Amino acid sequence: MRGSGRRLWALWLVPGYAFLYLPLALAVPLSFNDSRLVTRWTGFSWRWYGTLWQDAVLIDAALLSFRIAVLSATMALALGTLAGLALARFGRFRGRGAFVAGLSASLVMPDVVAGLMLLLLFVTLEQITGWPAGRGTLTVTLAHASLSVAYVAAVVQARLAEMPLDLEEAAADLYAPPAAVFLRVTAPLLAPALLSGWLLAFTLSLDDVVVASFTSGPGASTLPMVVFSQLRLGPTPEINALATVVIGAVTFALAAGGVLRRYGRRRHVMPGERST
Amino acid sequence: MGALQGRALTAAPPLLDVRGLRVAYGPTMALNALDLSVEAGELFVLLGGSGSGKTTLLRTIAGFLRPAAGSIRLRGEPIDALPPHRRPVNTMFQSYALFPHMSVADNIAFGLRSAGLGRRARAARVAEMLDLVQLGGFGRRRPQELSGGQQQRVALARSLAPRPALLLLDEPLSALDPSLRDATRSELMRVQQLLGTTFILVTHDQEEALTMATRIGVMQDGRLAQSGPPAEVYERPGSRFVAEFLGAANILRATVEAASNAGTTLDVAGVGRVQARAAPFRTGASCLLGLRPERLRIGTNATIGGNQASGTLASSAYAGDTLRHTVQLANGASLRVAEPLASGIRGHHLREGTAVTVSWERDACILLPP
Repeated sequence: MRGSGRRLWALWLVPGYAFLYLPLALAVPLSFNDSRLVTRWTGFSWRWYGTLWQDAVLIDAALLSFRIAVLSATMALALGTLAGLALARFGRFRGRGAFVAGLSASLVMPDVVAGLMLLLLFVTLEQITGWPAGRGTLTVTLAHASLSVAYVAAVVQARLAEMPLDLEEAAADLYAPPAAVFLRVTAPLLAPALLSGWLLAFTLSLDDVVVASFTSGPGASTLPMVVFSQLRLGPTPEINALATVVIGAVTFALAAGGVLRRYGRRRHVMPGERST
Repeated sequence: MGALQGRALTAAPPLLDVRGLRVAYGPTMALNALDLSVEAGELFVLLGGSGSGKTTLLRTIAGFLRPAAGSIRLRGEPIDALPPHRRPVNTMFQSYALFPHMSVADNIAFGLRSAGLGRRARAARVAEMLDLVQLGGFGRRRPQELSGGQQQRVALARSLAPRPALLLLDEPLSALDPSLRDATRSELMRVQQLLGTTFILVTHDQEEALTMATRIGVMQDGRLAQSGPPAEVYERPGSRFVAEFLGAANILRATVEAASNAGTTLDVAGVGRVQARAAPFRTGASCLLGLRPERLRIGTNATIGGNQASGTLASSAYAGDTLRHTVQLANGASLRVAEPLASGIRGHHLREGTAVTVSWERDACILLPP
């Protein structure tokens, strides 16, 4: 499997990647299409970017989605980190099995079921306590946060499991009380996992349409909800322009993340790992 | 013993006093009613095989393990109930456990910051510690940029910086190349003497234990089998386990023929009559005779006074500094003899299969309970 044989095998990757990325790649040229029809090319134009720029509904929805994603990811990060710590560092405490099952339930639960249950929960809560008043931004944020906790917990737990315990013991041995051990040793070493956990939660929230549809109310439509409803009226190339903007933003974020990680790896090397 | 009695008279408690310590890992007892007392300024070496409980003992003193029973007192004060961060005891970890996200200087300053030292005091102490371990100018490096020996010295500096009452060292030399170990060993002793800090060091290397320790404690099955100055433990082991664990020993069955204050006469199986020092064994009692291979002389006839045994030379192995002979005795038992090669291997004339005589001094006899 060396030399040319290996290169031949690499050809199998072409259809695989094409399957994954061709639909995405098609959106980019089609966003510059002058036609009103999504699929027929008539000429180059920026017009759909202009339309997008002036589409207040879409822009408001994007801003709302972004706000919900940031808030819910941050809440999920706080709760998920605590859950990950409990799983990785507290040993075999009582009720651990139930705790793990409860956490992973949201990983395997279909979104439709989760959305419906959350809706019922919010309605019942409102009837009994008066809070949360109606459905809207708050309920979507809470729903997203609760569904993302398990993902953050999994990422944090995995990182803690590979982190040698003696670093934290050494910190405690050098007079640092538990909170200081976490802030001065555990958290800095955990930073890459915290970042990727947050980003995962952020992404999950940003592209969720099912749970948001159940738990949102009038006047609080997220970007995926708006896009989805527009599709029913017949899509315009404006959707392609939006997709291109999103692809551009994600590519930039990934590149920036890669650069940061490369810089960070030189400074945060676990003992036993080799720096690259 | 004199020093210990002097202390008892002034009623000053020992620096560390461990009584009846039991630590359980599930159903197994890692420490089983262990007693240990360490005086200030000592370099106490805990020696034992794997699973003997030596690391468990260190971790219990540091506070990472909770004892099931027993007490730990530091300068007379019980510390059992304190969490690790409130014990004035520091540990140097076998893995060094240096914080990879901090510079060498920040690593060393870690304990000082926790202890509430101001910025300037911290900087001064860090510089002092770096000089002490001969790493001046390395403060801004990251631990992973240093060699293993340098990391070891950073770990030592970090654990000593807050001036702990007691430093626990878990196999501090085991991660180093053998060529570095000798130098590092004397470096550790120099630092210990300079600061006067009490060290408890865990090792499974008997040479390390003998050369470094002011006192050795030999551990066996979660207990301290014997403790004392290196020469005392080596020359007068209290049990067959200690005699064989610390150094090599031939063990022969014997019966006491006559015992008096002047000495003991033994009848040793396969050897005959042997004269030994006075020992607390009564006439007629059975006991074991321990003989260290390097205290035995071998030749065609007896070369040193007192005791001798005859046999056949079964094998000789060249070990560089010594020739290691195995001599078969009349009853089938064998004796290991280490012959120093003062003038090298040339001119050596003993052949395998020939009749030889092994001889030794009266004081080379170690009498052990059966």
